[in-house]
Amino acid sequence: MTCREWQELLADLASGDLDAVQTRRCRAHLRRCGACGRDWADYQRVRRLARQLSEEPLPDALALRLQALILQAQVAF
Amino acid sequence: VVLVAAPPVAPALTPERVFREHASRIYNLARRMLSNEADVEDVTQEVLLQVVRKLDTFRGEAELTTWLHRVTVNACLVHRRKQAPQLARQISAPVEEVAEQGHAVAAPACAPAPDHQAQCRETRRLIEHAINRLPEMYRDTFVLADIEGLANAEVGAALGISLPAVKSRLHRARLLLRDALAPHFAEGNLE
Repeated sequence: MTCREWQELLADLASGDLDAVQTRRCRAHLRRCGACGRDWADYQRVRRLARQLSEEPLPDALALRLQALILQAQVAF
Repeated sequence: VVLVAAPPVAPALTPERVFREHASRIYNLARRMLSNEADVEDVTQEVLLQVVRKLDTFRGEAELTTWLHRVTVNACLVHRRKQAPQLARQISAPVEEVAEQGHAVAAPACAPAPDHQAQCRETRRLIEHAINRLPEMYRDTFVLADIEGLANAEVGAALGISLPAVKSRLHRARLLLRDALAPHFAEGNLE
């Protein structure tokens, strides 16, 4: 398999969708090939950084407006 | 006599609780899918009011959370369709531009930060910027899967696409982000 073909398997490797044999072969390639190994590390880093993104708080004006609307909706229903 | 503890009773779903626990999540999901703050606020309001009206139909927190994702995504897609075509073009930058601008735009501001908090803010800015530059089809999938933490099948259901399409778009999104952020990885700014 070429490096490009191994790279196409990274999503399945990340989600655990490869079978045991494919997983072993893919991981062996990532260990052997410096470029693919670095790409895999960066691929994983993107996923980790995305999970760490925190939520922005609601803008104050929006929060106040929503609270008022919710109150009105409760009265109406 | 064996005493069996009763299962914990989940607190009732009230409009106040929904606002407290879910409004920010709805807002942030909309913010990542739409580029216009007014649209983001409209979607947040629309979805929250829908929840309040339908609150007595939910059987629990899990059902509500799934529903909220689906309804927020739908509302965002509807808002996008209302946008003028030229705005859609602005939002969906060409794929090549994403990788190029990841370095060209963000690198100058990426000097070592004076403290950890500033470093975190800078890291967040770089990532958010790179995500915003993704073409919509990849951004939506990435936001739902990697930021919101939905399973691939749930992402497919929310966006109305097949499981192989979810996997393919997600892979492409991660590769684009990896390319856009690669210069910062190399400089050790994003750890």
